[in-house]
Amino acid sequence: MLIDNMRVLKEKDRILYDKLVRLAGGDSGIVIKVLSNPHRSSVDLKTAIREIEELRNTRKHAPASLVPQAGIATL
Amino acid sequence: MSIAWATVVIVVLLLPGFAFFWGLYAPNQVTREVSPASPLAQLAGVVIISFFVHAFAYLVINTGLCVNFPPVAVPCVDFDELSALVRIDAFTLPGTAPATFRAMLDLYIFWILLYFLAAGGLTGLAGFGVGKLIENGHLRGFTRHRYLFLLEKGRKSEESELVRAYVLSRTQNLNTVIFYDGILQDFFARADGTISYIVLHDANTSAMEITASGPAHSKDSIPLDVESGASGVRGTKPFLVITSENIANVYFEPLNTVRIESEADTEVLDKAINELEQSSDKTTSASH
Repeated sequence: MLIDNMRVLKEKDRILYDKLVRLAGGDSGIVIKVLSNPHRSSVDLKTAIREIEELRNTRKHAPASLVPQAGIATL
Repeated sequence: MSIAWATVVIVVLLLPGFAFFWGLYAPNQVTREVSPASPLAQLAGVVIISFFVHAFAYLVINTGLCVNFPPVAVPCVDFDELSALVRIDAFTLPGTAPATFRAMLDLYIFWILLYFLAAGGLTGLAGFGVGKLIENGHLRGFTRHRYLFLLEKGRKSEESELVRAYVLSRTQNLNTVIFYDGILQDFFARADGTISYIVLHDANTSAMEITASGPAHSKDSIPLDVESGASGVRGTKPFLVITSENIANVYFEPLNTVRIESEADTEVLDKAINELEQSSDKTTSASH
């Protein structure tokens, strides 16, 4: 009944993604935001690193009230 | 006995057709079905392909190889012998001379084996070639579920192509439905194209409320990997498996492709992570 397993994520891609999340200080939302830019289809790694660091530092220095906290917010 | 013999002969004669479909499904993981969506249609395909392969081989051997190939004494195909072999009862019919199977097989067993190996191998290779053409987008008209190929594209690319999946689950409380999102790691699909189960890497969960004015999604997601959320660092993240019973629908979002121009880029990344984690460690130890 089943088709074979379909592996989508390559091991090296998973490792790269995990490293980018580590660079973002554990905030995968930052990585997703950088890699979800609708105005481009690809990004070079150096640019991605720079943008992740910028976003990470922005969130780090932003007032606590402006930083989204983990948890389900009010609907 | 005669029924069993006829079955064996038919299966052997259909070998090229089976080899073709084996080759067809071999190149990609999408269409390699344990059970095809239409077994009867596939069996018909096996019979038709086998018929034409044998007919073509008969034409080539009897009009070319066995006549005009002097370096090797290739024997011609004796169709009368073959039909007698298929219909084993013919050898025991009244008025028919006893069959001399053994002598024929002793004499031609090498050629018979070579014939079926060549016919099976070549049709298997032909099927593999067609499968590669489908995989590379040249015969997409023959594919049933094209979205599977789109998702699989990233795995075959040299560059880093990640796909994010948003899974609307069937777990709900009143008007609130649980929602999952994460990096798509694996999935199984059924022969009809529906997802059997899905595996997410670095998964998060959130909630969606269905109101009269439309669905309202919660602002933030909770990482399922609680440890990662606390410390910010974990070597390998766990994964979430969601089965079809809990999947209402899935939204796939291919993310920007990450181009790695040189090894130096990854070194820059490693260095940046080390600096960040070292400074984080210093801050932690200073606060204690």
